[in-house]
Amino acid sequence: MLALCRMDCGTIPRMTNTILRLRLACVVAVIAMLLPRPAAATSLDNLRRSVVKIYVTVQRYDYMQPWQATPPGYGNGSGFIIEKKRILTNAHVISDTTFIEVQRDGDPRRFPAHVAFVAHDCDLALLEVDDPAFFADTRPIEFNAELPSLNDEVIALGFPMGGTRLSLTRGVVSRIDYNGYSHSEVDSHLVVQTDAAINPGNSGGPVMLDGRVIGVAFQGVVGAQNIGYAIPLPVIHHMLRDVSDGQYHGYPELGLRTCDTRNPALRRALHLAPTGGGAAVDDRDLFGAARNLLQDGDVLLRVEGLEIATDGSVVLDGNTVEFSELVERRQWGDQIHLDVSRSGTVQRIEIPLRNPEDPFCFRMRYDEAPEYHIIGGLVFMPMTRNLLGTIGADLDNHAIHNLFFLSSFAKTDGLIHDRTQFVVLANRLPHPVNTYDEGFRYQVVTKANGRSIGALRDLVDALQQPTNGFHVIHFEGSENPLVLDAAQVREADAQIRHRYEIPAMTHLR
Amino acid sequence: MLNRPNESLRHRITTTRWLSPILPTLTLLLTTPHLMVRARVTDLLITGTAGTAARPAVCLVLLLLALPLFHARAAETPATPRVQVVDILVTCQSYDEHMPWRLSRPQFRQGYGVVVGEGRVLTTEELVRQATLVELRQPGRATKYPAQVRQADPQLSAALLEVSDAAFRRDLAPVTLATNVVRGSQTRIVQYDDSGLRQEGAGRIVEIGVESLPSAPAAVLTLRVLSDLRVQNHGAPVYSEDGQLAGIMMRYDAQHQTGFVLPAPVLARFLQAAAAPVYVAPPGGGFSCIPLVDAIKRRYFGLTNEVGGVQITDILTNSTVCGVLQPNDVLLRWDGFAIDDQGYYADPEYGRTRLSHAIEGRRSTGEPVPIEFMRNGEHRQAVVTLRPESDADALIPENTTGLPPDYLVENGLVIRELSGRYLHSGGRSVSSGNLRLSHIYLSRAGQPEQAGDRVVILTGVLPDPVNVGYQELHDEVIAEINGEAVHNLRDVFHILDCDHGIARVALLGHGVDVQLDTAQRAAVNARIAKAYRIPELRRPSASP
Repeated sequence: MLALCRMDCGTIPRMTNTILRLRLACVVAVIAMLLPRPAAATSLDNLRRSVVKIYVTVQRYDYMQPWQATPPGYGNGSGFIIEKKRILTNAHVISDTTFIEVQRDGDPRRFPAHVAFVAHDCDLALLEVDDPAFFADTRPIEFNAELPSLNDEVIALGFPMGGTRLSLTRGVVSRIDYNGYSHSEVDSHLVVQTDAAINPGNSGGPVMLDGRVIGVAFQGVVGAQNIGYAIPLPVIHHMLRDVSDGQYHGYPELGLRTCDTRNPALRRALHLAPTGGGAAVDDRDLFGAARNLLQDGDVLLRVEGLEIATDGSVVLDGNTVEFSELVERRQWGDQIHLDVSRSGTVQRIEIPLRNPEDPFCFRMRYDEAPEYHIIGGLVFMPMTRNLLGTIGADLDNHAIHNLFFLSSFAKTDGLIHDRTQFVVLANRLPHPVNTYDEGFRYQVVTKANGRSIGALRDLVDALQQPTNGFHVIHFEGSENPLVLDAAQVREADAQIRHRYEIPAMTHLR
Repeated sequence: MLNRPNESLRHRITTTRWLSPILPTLTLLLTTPHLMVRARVTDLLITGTAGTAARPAVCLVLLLLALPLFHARAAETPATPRVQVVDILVTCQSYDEHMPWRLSRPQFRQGYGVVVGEGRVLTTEELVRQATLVELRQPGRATKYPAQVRQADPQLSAALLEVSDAAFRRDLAPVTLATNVVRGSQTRIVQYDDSGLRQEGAGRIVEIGVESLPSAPAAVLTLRVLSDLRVQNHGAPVYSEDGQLAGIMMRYDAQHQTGFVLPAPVLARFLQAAAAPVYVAPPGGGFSCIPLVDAIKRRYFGLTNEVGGVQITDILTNSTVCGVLQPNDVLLRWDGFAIDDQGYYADPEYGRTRLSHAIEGRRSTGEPVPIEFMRNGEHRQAVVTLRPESDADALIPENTTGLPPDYLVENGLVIRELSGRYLHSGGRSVSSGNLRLSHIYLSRAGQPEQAGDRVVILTGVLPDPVNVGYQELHDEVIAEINGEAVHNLRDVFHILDCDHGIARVALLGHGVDVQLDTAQRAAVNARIAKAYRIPELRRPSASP
């Protein structure tokens, strides 16, 4: 199986079931910088001054013991200077970092940097350096005006596999397509695929066509040959425009899943002409912008005037892309127009691209301390992708299987109910008060002391009021309660806090 | 070298001809002598080989004892060798769970059976599961005789075969089943090598417990026998010290040199039921329970530490305790036996034994059994009538024995009910497949909302012009067909027959129904049946 590999250099490995993300220790020095060809020498000299190496100290939260962090690790990535004296790089290069430095090619000095904006959903970040000396003799690297074409010759610049001198690799644009962005593990956007070698440490470096940036190198495929990916201009510009008001809002989501309308019987049922396009709405995400404006079975005919094919694609700038690409290019708060056939009547529907935060898309979380609550040595946490990654996909364990099921089907199968979080018994800190409670690990809490639990805060509140001297906690899919003696728990908590050196028994956002 | 097997065979037959006529005399003479001698007599009876080369002293004794009769009998017609153990050769085929009209290529299994009566042979159920042909032969002989599976019980892991060939039946001598098995006692395990020569190994019963084999639907009383004889096949006989059948081998773990043996009392119980005009399966409790050791939880349930009891967690529909017990009841006594907080009771024969043996192994289906339990701190008593353990009423039955799955192929859509066997097909673990299907299985397989409910699934789509656009659908849960709710495959057949076709299928998690053209239904189905070589588009076939 092929796996995506982010191309920074770090020291903390993290595995998921489908995507392998590598942070390789930088042990291989680049022997020599590839010299530019004479024809491009001038522009490359400028590039050398503006492509920077980023040194990071990484410290992540330990989701098994969420009150503490993992040991610090060290890594590096790449970035490049753009307008307004900012450095564009990947979000995954600077996520969960405690210290960032940047260094120009050939300059022994390192300058502290800080994150100005980070966009985890598209794996981009902007850094700033307070010391103006860092920007001396640099020029912002320009962006290309448009997407490259297939077979355009491109170069990738950066600091792969460690080393302090700039590396240049060359290749062509192999494909322009949608792909998953492994940093968040849930988002997909347009990518430019190239066969120019992109290796760990290249992350955040520019991929260039004729001296102009056409993408930011960010991930590759483990097990494949010469498949590297760059974040293309539409995604970069989306992020830069988004932060222009001083805040990053992220991508708006229509939240639609469509199905193909090729089948003649289906077309008749949907009141469509025997031939033609249109994609039928098969699912509307609870948190999508289109949730209340469209209906299941609506047929999307046109988006912003572009014809939508039966498989949901449109032709945009000569490329066939998913219709959602037009949404991708809108900012949060914009609107988008859809021509929709509903029961044979065509309507023009304007959808404001504002959608509430979706706690159930389970995007990887960075730079935020995990929530938890500990009682009687039992560590309760909201289900997050980070927690699932820490637990591991041991699907033969029924409770873990249930968590992975919920992470995929909770919304489509109507299992959210009144929740804003699934609260999970994530860990047990052994103590006599919880000796017989190991069997409840990884189960989802439904009730505590008679109260429904829709979020960790509910559990904290419910456990303030024991029932007849007991704390009684129920879990999903089982009538077997976990029972704690409230008086014993009060005594035990002090011991547990001391024994396991827990600074706080509760952390809520 | 090549003729050695023949020599061995000839030698064996000769030896048996000597010994068979003298059996009455030997039995008469050796009723109480040294145990070893008695054991050798059993050897001869069972195999006819007698291990004569290895045990000349024993043979010499036997020959001397038999000498007065030998000359008198020698003039008569030579007797046929009689055996207690036979080879069982099974040809079996399983259904393709995804294309249930297909059978797998025939596979071959081999094991042993022990003779338990006139033409009747006992073996393990797993050996003859999904058999298309069962043949018997004497070890080392080439001639095979067809046999019928008279009764097979997956819960007891036992099967009874019957052979009709008169000549072969004459060669069979029944074993005597041990009436009891004792922990710590010695046994002998017997099997045969490829040439038919007998192999024998000593074994010791190290544990009598209730085990659940991976291939069995339920736990059953099982002997763990420690033996260094590497047992190759199912059904190998295990003899007690007095030469009676202590059990038959269900599985052998070579790494730990441990055999899992179906004990004689279970076999006797099976044979008794099989002898009845109508086979009545053994009972089951129909509930799941967990230990109740936690003092806090016991107090919460209103129990004192002195009283045992287990916590009920699940009740199977239409089972023995259905309607009597409910989750979070604490079961204290079953049939008069006090249950400890880990789910064991003191069995009069086997000592501390898991509760399931008290339920399944001590009484028969239909018998009333008193139980005691706590509910909400209140002590209660009830009498339940034992019912067979079966998951036929489950939302997702296991179909452990591989019964032919019912199905429908309509416009290329392959529709069937979900089963545990389907989820296990291809040797995969349940959890490695479709997350939604495996979640239903793992969370509520035994809990239909209404009696008869099953999970009806669209297994896949056989590509045809009629179903373009749907051909990537697979493992989807069907909620409605033609606008009517679907609870099981019967509903699907009913809708199909009433509406003369399937025009609309609603799938769980999809906002757009699958729409199908029914105008050319007959022609399309015929085209698909021909293209994909489907002999019948539904099972069971439509009523005439």
